[in-house]
Amino acid sequence: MIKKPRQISLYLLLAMIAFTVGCAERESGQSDTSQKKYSIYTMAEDGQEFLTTTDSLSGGSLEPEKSGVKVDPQRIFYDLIVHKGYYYRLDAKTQEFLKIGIENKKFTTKSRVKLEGFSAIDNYNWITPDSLLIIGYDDKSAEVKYAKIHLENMTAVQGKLPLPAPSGSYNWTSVGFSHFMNGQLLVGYTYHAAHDLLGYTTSDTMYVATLSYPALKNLKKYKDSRTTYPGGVNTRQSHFFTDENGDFYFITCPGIALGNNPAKPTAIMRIRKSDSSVDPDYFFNLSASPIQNNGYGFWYLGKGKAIVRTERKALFTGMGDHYKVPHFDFYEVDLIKQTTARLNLPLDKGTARQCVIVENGIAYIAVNSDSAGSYIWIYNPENHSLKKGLQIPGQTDYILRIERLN
Amino acid sequence: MRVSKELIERYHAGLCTQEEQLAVEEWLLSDEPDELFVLPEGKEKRGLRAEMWEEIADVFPEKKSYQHIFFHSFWRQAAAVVLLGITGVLLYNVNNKQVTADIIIINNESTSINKDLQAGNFHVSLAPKSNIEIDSNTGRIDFCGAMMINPKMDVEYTIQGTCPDQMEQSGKMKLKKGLNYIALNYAGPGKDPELLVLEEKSLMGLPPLMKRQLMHQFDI
Repeated sequence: MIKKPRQISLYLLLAMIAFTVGCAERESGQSDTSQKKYSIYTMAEDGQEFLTTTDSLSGGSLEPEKSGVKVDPQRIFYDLIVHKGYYYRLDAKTQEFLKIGIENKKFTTKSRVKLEGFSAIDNYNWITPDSLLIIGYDDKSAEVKYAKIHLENMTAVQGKLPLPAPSGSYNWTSVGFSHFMNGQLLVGYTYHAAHDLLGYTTSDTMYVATLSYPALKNLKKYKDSRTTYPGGVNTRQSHFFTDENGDFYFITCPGIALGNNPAKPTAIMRIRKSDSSVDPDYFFNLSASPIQNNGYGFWYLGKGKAIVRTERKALFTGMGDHYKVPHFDFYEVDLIKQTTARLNLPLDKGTARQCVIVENGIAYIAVNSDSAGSYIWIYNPENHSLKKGLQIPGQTDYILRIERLN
Repeated sequence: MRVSKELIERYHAGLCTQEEQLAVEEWLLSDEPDELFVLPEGKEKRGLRAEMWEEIADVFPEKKSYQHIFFHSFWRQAAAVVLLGITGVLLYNVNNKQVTADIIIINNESTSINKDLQAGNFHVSLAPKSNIEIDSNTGRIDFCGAMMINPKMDVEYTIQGTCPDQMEQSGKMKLKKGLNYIALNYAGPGKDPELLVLEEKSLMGLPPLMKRQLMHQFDI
């Protein structure tokens, strides 16, 4: 029984202390990154990599080597899936799928799940907002494997996709996209001939398998030889999207940085929601357009417009300088009219980059230019205006990823 | 000789002749019933023999069981460590040959295993079916295949691809101490092979399939 006013005050004080401590603990327990809207992954001139978070891409400046967190381990910029304040990746050596938070300025593995026989992610796709489907080719078993992972409790169910194994001169498979449509799973893939460590090339043919879901039985297969390597590795860069009508668009990537069959054109293709099939009459040949080159990155702007990131073959000699010479253009493409318009941006460098975010019809485009500096550019497709936003000065050589963290 | 009580007492006192001593010991070792010998009252042969052995054992110099000592877990483990150490050093020497000549030629004929060695100013990991010639006089590396090299000091070398249909060279390259460089004769489709010399961090710029294969081969 509490009777005396002094006793009441004491209990109140204790309650306040407990409440304050509780809040403080909760705050320090949260990952540092989870508070901010955007995540920026950069590489400095000396090769050091940093992750920095920010609430705005529209202006100001940010020096990753001062305000960022050193990435640990380094060189994981092509491996990440970023979702609701956390970073996810597959550790190929341990075959573990990791959930990583940043706490007290350190990369901290929060939880992990073992994925036997999984050595790479070729493609990921969302089953629900909190569960992932990841797909990867396992060259040891010559099988395309998948895992469904629940990210909250980090549990996984594994299996293999019923895609025909490579045969004849082919010894490798790449899955370039997977997409759920009308209760089915559509999987775009192709085959490669890998010559030990001395190179590889890609079959002249691309395939799209329609699988039942969740039984994953083959229902039908589409084949096309006008182009090859449908989609690409989407932990590296975006290669497909769904428009407002539910139609699915993907870019094909026969260029030297993915398919390595550059005689084939880069094209945009479409799978209509109305029949879940590749539209055989829709073939937007980018290499035959004024772009006249191969391209890889592909992001949706909305209202039937998209951005493609395309290379300039006259400016590089091969894979030895493809990543370091500024030669990439950004084009706005009209998916319906099949027209292109170059964005007046400095030439960009870096073979593959997750470098475009589209929000509320505005595109934020990260550009690394040796001459014009590293900026997030802001493009408004309504009036075609382009202006500089957030600057990343200092030692930054490449902005390797920008993405929405929360 | 008859083994009597007196003889046994003399044996205990150490007063037996050699012949008597032998006779007593023979009797001790024998399981044959000895009707001639009358045991002291209340004693039987087995009990008496056990007592005598106990006494004799006290006098004998202590006999160590070497077998027991060797197989004692500590020594067993120590021996295993030493053996493993020796094996390791031998293997290391076999696989990491310290090559100091001015011109070093190495050919890895294996179809699956890298050949690792110290060659002049470099640590070299040569991929299967690859060969390399390092000439430190002219500052030139000729090679065909794929390798990872790590210089022990800052050096300048010209790297030359020597695969049959390729004679491309890198020009003088500054290779920095302690960094890993990947070099390969990369065959583009319908083109002559391209000589790639990349710092390990730039390996990421390669197509995913190549990156995966190289990271696996060189354990990156």
